[in-house]
Amino acid sequence: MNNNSIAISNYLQNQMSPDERAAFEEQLAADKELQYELQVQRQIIKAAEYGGLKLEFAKAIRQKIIIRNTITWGVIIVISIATILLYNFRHSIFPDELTFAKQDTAKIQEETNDNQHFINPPLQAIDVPFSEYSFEAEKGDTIFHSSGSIIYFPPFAIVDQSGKTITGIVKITYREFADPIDFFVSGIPMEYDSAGRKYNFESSGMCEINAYKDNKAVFVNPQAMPQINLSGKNNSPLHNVYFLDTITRSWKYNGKDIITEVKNVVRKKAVPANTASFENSSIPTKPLKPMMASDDRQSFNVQIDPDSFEELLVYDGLRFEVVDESTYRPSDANEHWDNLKLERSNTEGIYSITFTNVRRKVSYKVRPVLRDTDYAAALKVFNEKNKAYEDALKNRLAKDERESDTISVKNKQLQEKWNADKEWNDKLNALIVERNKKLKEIRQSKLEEMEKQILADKQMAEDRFLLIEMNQAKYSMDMRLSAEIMRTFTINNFGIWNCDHPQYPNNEVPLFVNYTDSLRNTISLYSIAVVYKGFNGITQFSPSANIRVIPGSENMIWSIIDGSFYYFTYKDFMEAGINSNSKTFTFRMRKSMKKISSYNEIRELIEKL
Amino acid sequence: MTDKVIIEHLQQNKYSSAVKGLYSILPLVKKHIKANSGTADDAQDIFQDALVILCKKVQSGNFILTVPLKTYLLAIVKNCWLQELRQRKKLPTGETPDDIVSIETDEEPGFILAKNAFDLLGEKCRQLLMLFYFKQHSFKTIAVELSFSDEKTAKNQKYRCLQKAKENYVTLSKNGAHE
Repeated sequence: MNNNSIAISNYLQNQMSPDERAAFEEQLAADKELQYELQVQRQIIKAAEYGGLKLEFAKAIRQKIIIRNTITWGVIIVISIATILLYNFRHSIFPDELTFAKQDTAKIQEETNDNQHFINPPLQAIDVPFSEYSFEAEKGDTIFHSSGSIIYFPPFAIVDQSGKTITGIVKITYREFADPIDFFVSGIPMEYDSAGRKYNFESSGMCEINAYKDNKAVFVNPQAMPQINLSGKNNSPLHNVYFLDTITRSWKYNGKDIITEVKNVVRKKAVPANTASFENSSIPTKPLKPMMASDDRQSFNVQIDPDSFEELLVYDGLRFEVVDESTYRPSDANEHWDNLKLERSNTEGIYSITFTNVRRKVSYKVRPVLRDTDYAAALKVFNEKNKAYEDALKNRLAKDERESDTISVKNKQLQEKWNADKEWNDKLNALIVERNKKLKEIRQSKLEEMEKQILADKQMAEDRFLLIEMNQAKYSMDMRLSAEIMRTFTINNFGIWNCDHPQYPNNEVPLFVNYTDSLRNTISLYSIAVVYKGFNGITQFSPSANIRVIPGSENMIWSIIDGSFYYFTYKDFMEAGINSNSKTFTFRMRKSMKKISSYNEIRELIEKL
Repeated sequence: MTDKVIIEHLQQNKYSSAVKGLYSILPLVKKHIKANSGTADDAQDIFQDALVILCKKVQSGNFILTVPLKTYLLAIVKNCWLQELRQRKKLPTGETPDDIVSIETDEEPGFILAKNAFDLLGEKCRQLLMLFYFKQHSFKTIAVELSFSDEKTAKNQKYRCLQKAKENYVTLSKNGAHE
């Protein structure tokens, strides 16, 4: 196709003069290529208009959904409040009448289930398994999950639909989604929409927690919210906490989590509160006022080390005069000395000088002095240096005074933060010590079980297999607890919570795709997932001929049809030759040998890819 | 809201108001799409497509309504979904389920190819072309909206995006993709 975009644009937008238009139409009549280009450009413009209009309707529908949900929930809240008020009113008038009809939570549960249809596990009967816990709601409890995560329920953390605190045994179901396999199997959407812009979630920890009393869903008490400490490895501070709102079908930002590196829970030396001190701003060395040499006192020359006694080096012709002549022996002036040591004394301007040789060691108290012209020059240098010193000192004092208030505030803040940190660390440390003890017990019991199996089983091959498995279990437990990160946040709802970093996929490109099986028969795939190596997230596509990939890097494609797992490996992708200019591609998918029948089976299969 | 009022809203580009009047058929759309191998997401997408087609028909000036508007919209939905299934090669060309009312979408040949070529553009390119051709914003406004340094850059970028879309069209056309 030739490049006539500008001319065609001008023609289509009536921006040509009559002459230009006539000439263009004449050319158009004769040029089939130009006719085709005009037709294509016209269609593209129509497609852009179509896209814009569709976007307007999408916005309008989204608005309508939000309004509808707001109204629905508004009505539910009003009914709930009215029910509570009515209950309280009747209870106060008829205290014995405790059989007041309660609203059935099952209906709400049904609604919730209906709303969860947008979570579409690709395998209907297989999902990431839940663990179950139970405790007495009025006492609260701390749950230690097998992943290392700790969930803390304060007393009375659970309320019923009417907001009344629950007592007695409550059941908690909890599960975690650690990697793209879990995201894929669960069918939880991993896309985040912020102001119409789509981001891919990179997760550093995701979990689902639900609570039940007598098999009915119960709720979080806003006055005593549970706290989740998610165990993980990613310590990136860029991650935020999000809650999956199944009503608006979107992730809701819920602030930041507290990140704690578990290996440092026994805190590295705490910063003392008085660390914030005055800056050691540079002030010149206080100059030493020169003194005139006395005519009647003994004095001598000494070569001063250039790296020492800054206050003396500024003067030329400096001599040292003996302070106490009664100790002075004139013969010392004629003796050969091997070494000389000059030191400051406790008195300003007085130094101690020590001469040594193999036989003797002699010390004198001395003061630096100058003679005649050297004294006059030294006095001039002193005056200049002293003025600079006085000015610097004055500025420093003024600055110190200004900062003293700030320093005091900083010290106070540091003290408070240190106290809070200490309290936090002590609390978390205690939990982790308890958790590690429990995990150790679990591990020990698992190992004992394995050992028993080994003893019971005489077949060597299986023994070896169990030994390997046992060592792997030890290793994975130890690895999990090394360099561990705890992400702590409180929850105000039961449901799906995620610590994520939304990332805008700049290097992704759209691709029109077809899929075939190994015999090159076209197949239709549902719930397509693209996984980027090293990215703890997943991009999901409902049945669509348009997916996004990152050319030049390792991508994996997963899908499920009729219980069979179809996939395109990292290696397949790298060898496929897809580049940023690729528009279409036919993926020849591999297929699992047998149908997937359990969560462990699909995990094992994908981990081997 | 009466059909007459909804049509007036569509004619006046009051999309939100029109959607308020037509939103009630979305559950029927979902039911139909789900019963015919689709998902809830497909239903949303097809509903939007149907609204666009209805809007264009209403704004074409020669629109005469002979059945209730919602029935008409539902027929468009069914037609759109049929087209989509054909694209996905799940329904042989020519096969039409009995209950589908035939309503032409008045699309010229090659329009689906153009839509696909447009969808293949990057997000910013799509936004730019939509702002220019649909919203009819000036390059100066577009430069501000899409953070270009000035209107000249926006203009050059629009030219590049258009070129890219045309290239996509030709590539898809050669590969015989989805038309």
